[in-house]
This record gives sequence, structure tokens and C-alpha cells, in this order.
Amino acid sequence: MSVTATIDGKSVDIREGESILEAARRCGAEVPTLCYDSRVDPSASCRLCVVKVDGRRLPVASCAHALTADMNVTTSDDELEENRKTILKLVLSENPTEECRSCIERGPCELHSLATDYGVESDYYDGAISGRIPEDSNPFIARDYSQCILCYRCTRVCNELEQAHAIIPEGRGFGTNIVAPFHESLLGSNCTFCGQCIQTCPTGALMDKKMLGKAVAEDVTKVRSICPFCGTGCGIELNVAKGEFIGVTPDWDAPASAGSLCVKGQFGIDFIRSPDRLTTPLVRRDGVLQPATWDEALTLLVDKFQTVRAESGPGAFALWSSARAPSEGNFLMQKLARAVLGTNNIDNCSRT
Amino acid sequence: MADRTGSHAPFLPMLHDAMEHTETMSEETLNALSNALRIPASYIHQAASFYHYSNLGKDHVLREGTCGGPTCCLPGVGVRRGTPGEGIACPGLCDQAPAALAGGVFRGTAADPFLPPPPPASVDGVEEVLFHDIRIPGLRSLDVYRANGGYEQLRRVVEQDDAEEVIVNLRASGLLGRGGAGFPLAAKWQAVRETPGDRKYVVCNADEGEPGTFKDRPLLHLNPHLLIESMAIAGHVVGATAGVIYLRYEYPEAYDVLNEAIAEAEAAGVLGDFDLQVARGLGSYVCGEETSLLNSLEGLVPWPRERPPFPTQKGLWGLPTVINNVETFCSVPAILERGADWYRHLGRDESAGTKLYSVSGRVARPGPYELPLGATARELIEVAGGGPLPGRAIKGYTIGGISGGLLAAEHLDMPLDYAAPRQHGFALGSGGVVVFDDACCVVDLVRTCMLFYEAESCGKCFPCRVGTVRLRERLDALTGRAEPSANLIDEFNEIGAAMSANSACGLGQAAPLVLHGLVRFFGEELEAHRQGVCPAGVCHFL
Ligand SMILES: Cc1cc2nc3c(=O)[nH]c(=O)nc-3n(C[C@H](O)[C@H](O)[C@H](O)COP(=O)(O)O)c2cc1C
Ligand code: SF4
Ligand code: SF4
Ligand code: SF4
Ligand code: SF4
Ligand code: FES
Repeated sequence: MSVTATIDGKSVDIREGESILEAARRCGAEVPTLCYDSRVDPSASCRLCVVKVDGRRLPVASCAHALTADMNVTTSDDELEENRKTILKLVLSENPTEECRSCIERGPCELHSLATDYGVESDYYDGAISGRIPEDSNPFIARDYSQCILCYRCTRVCNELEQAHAIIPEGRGFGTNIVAPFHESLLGSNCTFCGQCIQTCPTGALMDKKMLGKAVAEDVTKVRSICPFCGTGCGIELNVAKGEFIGVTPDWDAPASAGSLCVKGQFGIDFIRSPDRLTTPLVRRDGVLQPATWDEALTLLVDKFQTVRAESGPGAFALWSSARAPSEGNFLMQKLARAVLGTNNIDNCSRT
Repeated sequence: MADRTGSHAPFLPMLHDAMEHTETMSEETLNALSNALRIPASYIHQAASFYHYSNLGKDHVLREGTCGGPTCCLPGVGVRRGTPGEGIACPGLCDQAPAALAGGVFRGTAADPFLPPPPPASVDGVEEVLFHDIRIPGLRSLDVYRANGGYEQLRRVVEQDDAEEVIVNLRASGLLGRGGAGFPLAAKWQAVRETPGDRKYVVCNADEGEPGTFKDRPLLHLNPHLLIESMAIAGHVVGATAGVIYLRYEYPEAYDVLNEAIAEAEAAGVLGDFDLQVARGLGSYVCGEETSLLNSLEGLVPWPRERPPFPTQKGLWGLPTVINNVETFCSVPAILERGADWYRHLGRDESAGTKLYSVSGRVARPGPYELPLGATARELIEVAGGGPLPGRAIKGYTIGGISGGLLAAEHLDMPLDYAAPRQHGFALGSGGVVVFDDACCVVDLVRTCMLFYEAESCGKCFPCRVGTVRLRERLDALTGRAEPSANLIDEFNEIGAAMSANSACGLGQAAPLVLHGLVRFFGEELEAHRQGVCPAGVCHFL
């Protein structure tokens, strides 16, 4: 029995669980998508990925159907391309025509890159604009649903991947809106501010509020790094413009995280230039923390350690080490606990 | 909240329960539902916010409104509609137009909203099968139903225990699904029978949401045992012991009728181990699409599923499921009783059996009529429906409710069968026919249809979600509500093509059909509108 199929005239081997879309892309076909995110179940919403399959009356959404033996698939012909173009014109028409913020600041968004590829402007099919913009004072996520094309990537990522269940489509049809149920602002909702919805959004509807207005895309360089906040070691890209850190985007190729981040890695890295950062040791004098020299601080520590140890024994100590310290620092910390203070009470915040 | 854990599909009954306790669905109620059903609250929120008659995010359940459907908005029948969102979805009372929702009750103009008119003796070869007994007083009760031969076929099927034989018979009868798609019944039952699994379901599609369609209504209200018997037969044939009737919200009386009949049948022990339940929808046309219907039962947002897998393989709760329309199910006992040959020959030419047609709009005697499958539109409209209103000339009609297409008077001799409409790219669909005459504006009618699709589009897919709105806006312009754009026909064609080919379900695929009919058969009237003239004098230009 044959275990191959044909895509655009080429023979393709069948792989367990692979969709027509994935197989087509694997063998080099360019199939456009807007609602596809490989990490979550397909919603088959954009209908741009539709292809012709012999024996099927209507084209099928290639993202939502497995490639099976002997299938004969055509990913592109005049009719498919014409309808793709029309669908692009339709979604562009539900958004305002002014220039997309995402394109300016983050670089061309998926929607507008595709529109450019297809030579489609945003001024066809004049009509009503969709999307209600919530009043949301949360400090992290800018939500402008007038830019939204209801691809449901954010809601699937939030519910299926993050399992945060913070946002969901509400209502029906053209009047559907993305909402945090019962909450106008994400602040009162289940949102953990992982930022994953921003990262999957193919338009300017969801943006990193902290980065808004900081730079234009041409000026941004991305520096690969590792989130220093915990032991997971998620991959991040530090976005740098004119020598200044402006925000984080995920490193999609990072082995530990494959693009996932939590609120700390996504939004917490701005401690780099925070005025709250300590630059000298602090010693509490008369109940107030005051700047001190290293000598003064260390001498004080040694005194106190010795007193406590003499009075209560080594079991009175517990040490907590930081994931933000290098491994060598953590090693030395446990040496200090075990060899110097004589206690095994040492832990690290990476474990929590 | 009542304990619904024994229910085959507890979501809808529990949502109805919850709605009884609060005017506006609160977060607490939603969370309680989420806990009881073990579905994340966000999903319940998405699902509950979808329906016309849910009270999530609203002050109260919608209890007042006039029908915004195509029949009820015809001149001389009801009100011409202004803006989207006005008016309720067609409640299936088009033969008693104008229909309205008043104080939570759906009513048309008839005193008895359920009784079908008697069959027109003058249509050649009319022999009623589905409506044969329907005018018998008291038929709803088990005794009367049995006295007229009821539950005999179920008894025989169980006794003879030869499911293959039943399927052979049904195949020979030529019975095709009456809900819209016309899929052979025997093939569907066979597929479920052959799919392995010790748990399977039989689901009846009693959503009847198609505008201009009200033919399941008499069966549901007056002959509940016929449906119950038919579903139990299906259960026996395919190996399912559980059944669910998905009943549209707009038929609350049928909910009580069906539940009473089921209770009576169970008490009398005629159903054996077949456990049948009724779930009421909450107002949504797309829930009649079989996979949306399944999602609705499961408490998910009722967007259609991608097929394959078909419900015969993975249906309700992922188990093999038979889904049929009320009329399809109800045809089964008569076929088993009187034989496949008899049934087949009731239809005209190649068509098998009878069909319930709904005719409404500008005709003298609107109503649901049972005619030989393949009767012409002229027979339905002029003979059964009593012809045009005095002094009026019929201009055209829609088929498949409105989703099958739009034809002109010159097509009145087209047989209303599965094959004939296809020559125009149209479909028989549910068998509903909305008639309009020279007092009506066809462009305005098409706009009303598009308003319906726009309001009912589920929002899952781009071409339909945006396309229905863009088409309606262009029809607004043609009917004097806005400025028309220059390349209107090109836009109709482009948007229509993308919707028909790329939409995820039948709603978006079929929505452009009325427009195709308009462009093809009413070119002059369309052109006049582009010039700012409405020949029927219905549209007023800015
Ligand atoms: C938008 C839409 C609405 C539908 N509504 C109904 C309905 O109200 N009742 C029905 O029986 N079938 C309806 N159908 C058809 C069903 O999907 C399905 O084909 C039918 O229930 C199968 O039963 P049958 O084979 O007995 O016709 C609808 C289909 C679509 C696409
Ligand atoms: S930030 Fe994360 S949790 Fe919050 S809405 Fe977006 S995906 Fe959901
Ligand atoms: S906000 Fe973005 S990701 Fe979410 S549905 Fe809209 S366009 Fe898609
Ligand atoms: S703090 Fe969050 S983003 Fe950073 S490494 Fe840990 S999990 Fe990843
Ligand atoms: S065609 Fe319309 S109703 Fe059907 S899935 Fe798409 S948006 Fe929903
Ligand atoms: S990627 Fe398949 S429909 Fe959008």
C-alpha cells in the first residue's frame, strides 16, 4: 500500500499527525495563513490556507486536515489565489486604514506583510469597522481591537497553551469581541501577563505597552540572552534601540522555552536601568537603611554571624540563594552555608 | 441547581436552569456552572455569550420583538427593516406572519399555531405519509398513537432483531436526509452501525432555524411519539441506547409535549433500554448545522467542526452518532410498515417519497404541505398555497428556506427535488419556499436575507464573518440606505465567490446564493436600483 501523497505534483511521504499545511510547507509550498499557530489546535478561521484536494467538492482548510495516503493536493491556482486575495481585502476592511503601529514599531506584522505579498491595499470594501476597545489600565498589554482580525490565536494560546483562561471571544459573528470575562481590564482577570497573546497576534491589536513609542523597527537590534529570573532559563531577545534596552521578545529557537515566557522574563527585565537598583551595600542604622562601604557591611555580618552561632548554634541559619547569581556564586553560597556556618539550610529560588 | 449529572448533554439544560434564577448571568452563576460541568469558566462564558436568548451580559432574557425574517418583512406582511440587530430571528411562524415575541411567547396570527392545513386534493398523487395521522385529535397521547398503529414498527424491529434488513429496506426506499444536505439515510445509519464502539448516540436535529421553514413544527407539536418511535428504531439499528433531541428555543411548547410523551412511553416500557432526552437550544441558526449542534450540546462554543471526522465516526462526546432531521426520522416507520417500493413510488420521476414543503410570503394559503417529492414550485404555490394574493402577480421565490437560492416566476415549473435546482447552482435544502410578488422589492428581500446571515454568522471564519456584513452594506446602498459604490457587481461576485468556496460551513457557503439569483434573474430591477429607482416603490432613496 502506498504511504505517500502528492502535493503540487510532488510525491510526499506521510508523517503521523502532520497536517496538509505542515506537509506542504515541509516540501516548500508557500501556503499563506493568519490564524495558524503550531502550538495550539487549529481554529481554521482565516481560510487562507485552503487547498484543493481531489475528490472534495470544496477546498479544504489545510491547517485542520491530516495529509493521508494518496491525497492529491493543489496548494495554488488562479481561483485559490483570487479567493485568498478577496479574504485579505475583507479582513483589511474591518480595520481602520491608518498606518499599523505594529508595522512601524515592531516591523511588518503578519497581516500587512501578507497584504503586501498579495498586492492588496487596505481601502477595498468600505464598511463598518469591528472590535471594541476596552478601557484597560494594565501596565503591560496594549489592546486595540480595532486592529483585530479575530484569528483567535491569542485566545487559543491563552486557554490551551498557557491554560490561563484569561481572555475569550464573546458574542457572535461580526460583533464578536475578545474580552476578559466580567473584567474590562486584564488586571482583575485571570491574566498572568505572560505576554504570549502579544507574541502570537498577527496584527497590531496586541502590543507591549512598555515598548510602545520607544523606537521604530529599523532602529531595533535584538540580542539573544537568557532570562535571569529563574532556573527555567527561558530564551529571550533583548530589544535594543540606540544603545538603550527597550523591551523583550521571546527567542523562538531557545531549547528550554521555544518562545514561552512568564511575566518576569517578558516584562520584568527593565530592572537593568532601574533607579531602584542597589549600587552600594546598605546597613540599618537607627532603624533606617543607609549606604555603607563593603568593609563596614561585611564586618557587621561577620559579627552577627558569630554572635548568633555562639548563642543558638548553626541550625539557626537559613540561606537563600538567587537564580540571578551565576552558578559559581551559588556554589560558593552553599560552601559558605555548609563549610563555614555549618548548616544544610540552604535553598535557591530556582526551585520555587 | 438541579442535578443533571445523568443527562447525556447537561450544558443546555443547566444553562436554562441558571437563567431562571438570575435576570443577568453573574460571574458566580457562571463559575458554579463551570464547576458543575468541569469546563473552564472561560469556555462557558464564550458559549453562553453566543446565543440570542442567553442573559449573559444583558439586563434580562430577550422577551419582546418582531420577526426580522424574510417573510415577515415583506410589504403587506410585516415591517421593512432599518438597521442590523432590529427584530428577532425567524421563529418558524412564517405561515402566520407577521410573527412576534411578546412577553416571552412566540406567536403569529393563527389561533392554533401548530395544525397544518389539509392537503390540497387537487395535486396529482398526494398521499400523506408524515401528516397522515396528524389531524387525529389527541394523537399526542400514547393511547391514541398506539390505537393508530404507533410503536408497532419499533416492536417489530426489536422482535425481528435484523438491523441489516432494516437498512436494506431504507436504502431501497431512497429516503434522503430532509434537513438540507440530502444525504442518504441508510448510508448514514450503516456507517454508525459499522463504526465500532459500545456507546453511540442518536441525535435529532429539531433546530428548524432556516427562515421560511416550519415543517417540523407540526410533527414536534402534534405527533411526538412518531419521532420518539423513529429514534428508538434508529437506536436499535445502529446500536445506540442514548438519544438526544436538539430542540430550537423558539418551540417551547414542543419541549413540554416531547418530555410528556417520552415520560409516557418510558412508563409504558415501549422504549426498552433506549434513553431519550430533550435539550433546548438558546437561539442560534448555526446550531442547526450538525457539528455546531454537537458543540452546543457539549457546552462548547457552537462553531462548526472541521469534517472529517464526520459525526458518524466522532459525534457527540467523540462517539459515533446518527444525526437526522425530524422529518427524516419520522419517515422511517411508514417505510418499514408499507414497504420501500410503496414509499419510493410516492415521489415524482426519479425522486423517492414525499416531502414536507413550507410555503409562505405573498400567497393566499401559506402553510406546511406534504407533497410528492419533485412537485413543482407552481404546484406548491398555486395549488397548495392557493396562488397569489388577489390582483397580484408572483415575481419569484426563494428555495431551501432562503439558503437554497432565489428564482423568478419563469422558473415556477421547476420541480422541487434534489436534482433540478442544481442546474442553477441552487439546492432544495429544507423545502421552504418564500414567495414574493409585484408589490415586493426583490433587492430589499435579498437584503433582509443578508441581514439574517450577518446576524447568525458564528464568527469562526473570515469570509463569512466579514463577507455577510459587506454584502449587506452593499445591499443597504442599493435599497436607498447609503450611497452605492461604483463596482458593486464586481464586489458581489468577488465576495460571493470567496464565501462560497472558502467558508467553513454551509451558512457562509450558501449566503451568497440569494444574491446570485438577484444578479442573474433580476438584472433589470437591480439596475433600476443602481439608478435610484425601486420599481415596486418599496425602497426610498436618500
Ligand atoms: C447553517 C446550517 C443550518 C442548518 N439547520 C438545520 C436545521 O435547523 N435542521 C436540520 O435538520 N438540519 C439543518 N442543517 C443541516 C444539518 O447540518 C444536517 O445536514 C442535517 O441535520 C442532517 O440530517 P438529515 O440527513 O436527516 O437531513 C443545517 C445546516 C447548516 C449549514
Ligand atoms: S498575557 Fe498571557 S495570561 Fe494574559 S491574556 Fe495574554 S496569554 Fe493570557
Ligand atoms: S487580538 Fe490579535 S491574536 Fe487576538 S484575535 Fe485579534 S488579531 Fe488575533
Ligand atoms: S522567570 Fe519566567 S521567563 Fe524567566 S526563566 Fe523563569 S519562567 Fe522563564
Ligand atoms: S461560514 Fe459563517 S457560520 Fe459557518 S463557520 Fe464560518 S463564520 Fe461560522
Ligand atoms: S491557517 Fe488554516 S484556516 Fe487559517
